Amino acid sequence: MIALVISAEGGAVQQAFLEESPEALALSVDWALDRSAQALANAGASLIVPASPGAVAYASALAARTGTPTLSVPASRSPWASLRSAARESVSLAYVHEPVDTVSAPGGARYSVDMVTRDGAHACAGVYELRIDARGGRHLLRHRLSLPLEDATASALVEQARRVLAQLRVETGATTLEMEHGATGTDLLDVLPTPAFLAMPADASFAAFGHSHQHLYAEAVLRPRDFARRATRPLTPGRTTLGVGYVRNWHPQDARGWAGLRLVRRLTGFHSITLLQREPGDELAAVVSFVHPDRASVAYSLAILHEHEDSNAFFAQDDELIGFAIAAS
Amino acid sequence: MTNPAATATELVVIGGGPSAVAALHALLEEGTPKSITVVDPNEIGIGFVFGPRCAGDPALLCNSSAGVTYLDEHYPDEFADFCASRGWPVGKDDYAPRFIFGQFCRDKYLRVEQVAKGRGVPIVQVRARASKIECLDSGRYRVHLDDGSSLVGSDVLLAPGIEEPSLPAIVAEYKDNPRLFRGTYPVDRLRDLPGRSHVLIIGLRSSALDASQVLSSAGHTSVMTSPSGRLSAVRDRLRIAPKFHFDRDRWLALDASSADFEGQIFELLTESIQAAAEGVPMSEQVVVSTDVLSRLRAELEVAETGKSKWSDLGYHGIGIINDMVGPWDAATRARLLPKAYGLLTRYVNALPVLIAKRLLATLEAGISKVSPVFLESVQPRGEKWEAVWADGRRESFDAVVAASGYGFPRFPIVDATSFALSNGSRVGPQHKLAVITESLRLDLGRASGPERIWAIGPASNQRFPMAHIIYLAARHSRWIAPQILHAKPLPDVSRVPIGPAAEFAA
Repeated sequence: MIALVISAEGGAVQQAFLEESPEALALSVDWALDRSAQALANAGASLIVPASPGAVAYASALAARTGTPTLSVPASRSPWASLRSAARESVSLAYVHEPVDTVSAPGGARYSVDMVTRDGAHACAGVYELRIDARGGRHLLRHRLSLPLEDATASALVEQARRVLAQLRVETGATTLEMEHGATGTDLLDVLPTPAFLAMPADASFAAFGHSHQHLYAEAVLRPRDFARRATRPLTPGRTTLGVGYVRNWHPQDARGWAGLRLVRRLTGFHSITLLQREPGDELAAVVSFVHPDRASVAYSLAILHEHEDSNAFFAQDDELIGFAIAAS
Repeated sequence: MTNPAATATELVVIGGGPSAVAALHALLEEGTPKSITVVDPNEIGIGFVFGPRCAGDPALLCNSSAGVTYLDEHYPDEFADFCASRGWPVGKDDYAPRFIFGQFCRDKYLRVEQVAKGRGVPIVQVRARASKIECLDSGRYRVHLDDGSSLVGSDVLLAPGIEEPSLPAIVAEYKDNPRLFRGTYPVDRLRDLPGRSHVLIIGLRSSALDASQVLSSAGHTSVMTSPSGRLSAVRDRLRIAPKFHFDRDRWLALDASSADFEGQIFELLTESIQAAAEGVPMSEQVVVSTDVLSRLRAELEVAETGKSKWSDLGYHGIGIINDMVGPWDAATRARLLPKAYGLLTRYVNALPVLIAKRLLATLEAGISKVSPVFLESVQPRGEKWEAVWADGRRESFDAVVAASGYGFPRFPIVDATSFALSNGSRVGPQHKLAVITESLRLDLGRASGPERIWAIGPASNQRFPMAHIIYLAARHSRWIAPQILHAKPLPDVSRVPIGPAAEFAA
């Protein structure tokens, strides 16, 4: 059984509960399921397990309707808009998601855990600390920075991820779980189907860890025995750190060039930059990856990247100054 | 790294910024401590001033050229070489963005850490701040941390940075006002002000100019002011001059108690300037004008045409004045240094050409201004600030930036056997400070003599007042390493070369 996990349309569902109207609830459930089912059908999938319902009652309603296990998590606080993307294209693809406006204020350190599952065995592909900034009333993912897997926080997050996937009876597939971790424990925020996540460049991940989310998924399908051994091995200490920065052009009307390209390639740990095919109105312009043994250096490079982004120097002309006469090179 | 001779030193380093990295490098070249613990909440090497919150914005440049920005006095080109290795187009006379130096410091620390690890002495970091140091009966020292815990070591190295901005008296009572920014950094607070904010900047030195630059770039306007109303001079470079233009013996022989001391200083300074002038008369090197804009414009032209020959005195001048002032007692420093403050800050802290150009551009465009008079008062009025200038004008501002400098580390004595770690912003005349000896050791006045506690870089400011603090830290590191590890007395500093030995010999 392939279990695909998608987010529900939290806003509509919450509204239904606020009105305490069974009819509204039923309608919203139907609507979410219909859209999800359509998206899955387009992708050739045959089964759906909804998640992120925002309320236990909603989860129960879904469970009763579909006969499949569901997991109740807090109302969608995720910066991802997975259903929107899934409905637009196909759930078997992944996108650099723009944030949804219904995200509540982040209440602690945010993490994402990349997992790959085959025959009920779960392997971790990476754990990342997320920087999410509030800007213009939205919460935006600025970067992700890998955690060493021997780190106590990472271990706790991976254990939680395994439990969640087991509860969901996810048998095979690739998932990303978003969590919040603090002194009081770990909260699950969302479970996303991400068999191939564009926002996490596979080559940078491969350079950092010797595998990527995508590589592990391929391994699970092509070499199930190797994967089974991997899934049962203890987490191995990380020797390098991967940082992935999402570059936004806050003021496209003022953008004059890509001077930032000269900057990033000189920062400690620079690995690669991917310029994104942008749609009108998209702020997200590029994904920059850093790989280095020293986590503090990667974090510093990401911070410098954001400072250049925020001061709009990243999109200056090549012959303009970035701090000093960089164009002299 | 040579001479890995093992010692019994259990070293606790307070602060993990560039000064600490310079010291760790020098110590590991001198020998091998038994243990090394660094106390700092920030990442070692990156620290605060060169960390992302203070140095990430591209508008923020180092205060000194790359050629004199180093952590190893025996390798003054190390930062310039680092830049070249990364492909940064930074020459020795260029002022690099601060974040590059931050990355260099971390890179240098990682190499130092590897050396220490290779000798079986891993560097342990404790993420906390030291609050007090206590002398134990055993002759060791207990370092009290702000999290309530403590550490014990045989030797302590004080290398805290400069983190706490001063708050000018004129706005001190409004310290909790959310529209009063204490210090320029982190600059995102300024950048993110509501569109087209009009901001008052109190200060005219480098951090005030940083604030003005960041505000201008973000579409805000600003007015800078200080009691003197004078900008620093403009220099085209700060380099290790190929020739040593000071008669060092005569400088160090000057008697600070002499009635004609200031006259003698002036005479020696004039001689040195003439020696460095290469035929350019003083009248062509220095601009005298009371109008800020015309003076800045003229000084920029002088610097850009390579006539500001005085700037070649800066590097050795900082060293020689520190060597001269170092042995002075506190009373002599208090009597003489304020007299020199205006002249020294104007020329020692002179503006790099690039910063002067940017400033001139914003002044000419009316985006920023330098007030010709200082403030009579400044007070919050609802969501705004109202400034009353000394000439009676009133002006409304959206925010105020207190950018008049930072408090250097200070060590007030708590009792007979302990002292606190504080800074100049918090310490007043009521505090008795631990004495920093010429050997850079702290002296609490105990019968046993100075402690095995050393202060370098900014922490030595009480005795060595002349920044540039990075190269001062590199110089001090070479002084203290033999003292800490081998109990070798500090040699006569008047014979210790300023900067790289080969350069001095030349």
